[in-house]
Amino acid sequence: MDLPANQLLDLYRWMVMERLFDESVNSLFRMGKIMSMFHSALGQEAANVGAAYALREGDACIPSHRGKVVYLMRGMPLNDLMAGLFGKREGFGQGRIPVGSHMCGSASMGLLPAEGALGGSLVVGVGAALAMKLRREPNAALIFCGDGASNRGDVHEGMNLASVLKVPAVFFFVNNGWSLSVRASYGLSVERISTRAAGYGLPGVTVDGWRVLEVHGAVSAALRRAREGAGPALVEAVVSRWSAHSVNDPEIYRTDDERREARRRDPVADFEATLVDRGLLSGAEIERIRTECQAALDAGIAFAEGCSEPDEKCLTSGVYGG
Amino acid sequence: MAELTYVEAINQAIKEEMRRDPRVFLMGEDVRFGHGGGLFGASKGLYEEFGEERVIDTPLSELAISGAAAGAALRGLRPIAEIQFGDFLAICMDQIANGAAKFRWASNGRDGCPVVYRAAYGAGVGAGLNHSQSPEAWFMNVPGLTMVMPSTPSDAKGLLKAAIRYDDPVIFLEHKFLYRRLRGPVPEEEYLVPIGKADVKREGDDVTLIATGAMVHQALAAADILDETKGIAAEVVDPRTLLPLDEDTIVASVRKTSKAVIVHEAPTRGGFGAEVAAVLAERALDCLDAPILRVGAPFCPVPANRNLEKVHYVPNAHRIVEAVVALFER
Repeated sequence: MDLPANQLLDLYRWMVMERLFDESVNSLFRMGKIMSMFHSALGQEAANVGAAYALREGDACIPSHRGKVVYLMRGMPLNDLMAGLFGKREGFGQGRIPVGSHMCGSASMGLLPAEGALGGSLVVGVGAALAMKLRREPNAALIFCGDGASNRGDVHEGMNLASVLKVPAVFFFVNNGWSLSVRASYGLSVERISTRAAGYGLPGVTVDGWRVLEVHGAVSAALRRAREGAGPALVEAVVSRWSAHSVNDPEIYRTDDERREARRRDPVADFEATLVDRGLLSGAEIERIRTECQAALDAGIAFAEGCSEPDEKCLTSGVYGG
Repeated sequence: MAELTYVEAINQAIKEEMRRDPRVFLMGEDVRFGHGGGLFGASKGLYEEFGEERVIDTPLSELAISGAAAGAALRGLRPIAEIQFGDFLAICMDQIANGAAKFRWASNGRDGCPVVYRAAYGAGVGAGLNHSQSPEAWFMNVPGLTMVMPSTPSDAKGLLKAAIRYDDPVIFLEHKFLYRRLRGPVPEEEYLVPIGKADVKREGDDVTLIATGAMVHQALAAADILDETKGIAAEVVDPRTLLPLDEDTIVASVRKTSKAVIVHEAPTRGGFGAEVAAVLAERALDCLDAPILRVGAPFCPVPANRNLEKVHYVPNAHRIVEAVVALFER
């Protein structure tokens, strides 16, 4: 545990935020408040937070559709994100895009749009990393991808091109065992996505995705190496998907036993226990952090409720520049 | 005016823009050494002048080329992605149509994606069904996309320079038959041809021929024949930018002539000409005194046999003349 105490607490706070955010939005969706799709990141908090926390100012990131906290960590105001999820005019995207799911980019925040055909944006991230290299920027691109999208053709082309051109890109595969209803054990030609790295001449590791510090350590090392010009790398975090693929998914393809097994380990509770053991966190502080995160979320929800519906101008403006 | 071939004009445009703006770079297959600088010579001398960082050979990876160029554009550069054959744009369709063309709109209009996808398209060189297509209709229905198809060396140079300076993705279609066969005057001084503006290549009062790319030259030849043999004065309008279309210039011409024949190299069914015909039906039906006709390829793949390709597949001046005469003999 080589991080200073304030950073450890930061990680914890973001993980709590991700947990509460997902629980809140899940119920908002059932109330019909969320305009488009929602893919829960419950159970993947350590992977999302550990990886995104390794980013620095100037780095670029392509988040996955599962993990809205990454947008907050890159600086998107919670109100913007929440109003965006509500599809409101004042929110991010102005009701145009499925916010936090895909095509939700912002150059000024170092967020590149994740394309809706999952994995398609990996090559866009490679291009951003190429630009960093050509412009001699001391930065790297962190590209989230899932086990399902790891099978996409553009993912393979992107990793090969990144290796050939030696660009500062880190491919972060969150392997939650499911590509919607298809098991990774069925859909992947290998057991570990990291073994594919060898095929592209990249270093590849698999880490325990429930352990935030292990994820953070591996992604930090890969990003540092990339920023220093040593080229791309692949990190796979193995996690479990607690919920269905999305809130619309009846999830008829797994058994109650499997669902229970998926929730056997809780990354937030595990990290919390670790911090309590080390004397960095008390019961009162846990309560305070949870209360603060929930208050911020509630404020965001209240803001979103008060926003207006987008009009026709939001629809047809900005198709072209100039 | 200098006399340049079509491909020399394209080469000059890239070279001048790379000298002017350090953010411009070229990536694609065989762009350094293939046949002396790109498969058709469009990047001749660029590697020698600008080096390996700005003239980037890639693996055979059209998905990666098209997506990575878009990513580099989002990160502040001005990439020119060379897609070796227009047919291969089908591979890039996801990256262009679902990605690059939508990034600006998705970001509330803020983050444009200034990338140019150059591709050699078109038939006439016996390259067969996977290396000869005219893919423009595949992309006509993509909001956010701009598509350019120049017919002359001077248009090619001025439009390519404008495309490189443009703030949104552009598909730039270069006709491979014209590369070395067409020579024409190109201004010595710096100039741009505006994107989105059609050009009247020949004036006439009796019929409007709306023709694209290499077909502009067949339409001009047809206009000569019509003038000499029938006394029909044809006006030839070259849209130059297919998307967004300069409707006003086309409509104004047809309002003057009252007859329209649309000519393109791709099959007529569902083609670019269908869009032009629809625009004319909506905006100029009241002044038409004959049906709108389309001249294009038959609805079949491009044949490899040179005779089949030249005589029966690619539209030519005689087929255009026949169409026009049919309009006048109704």
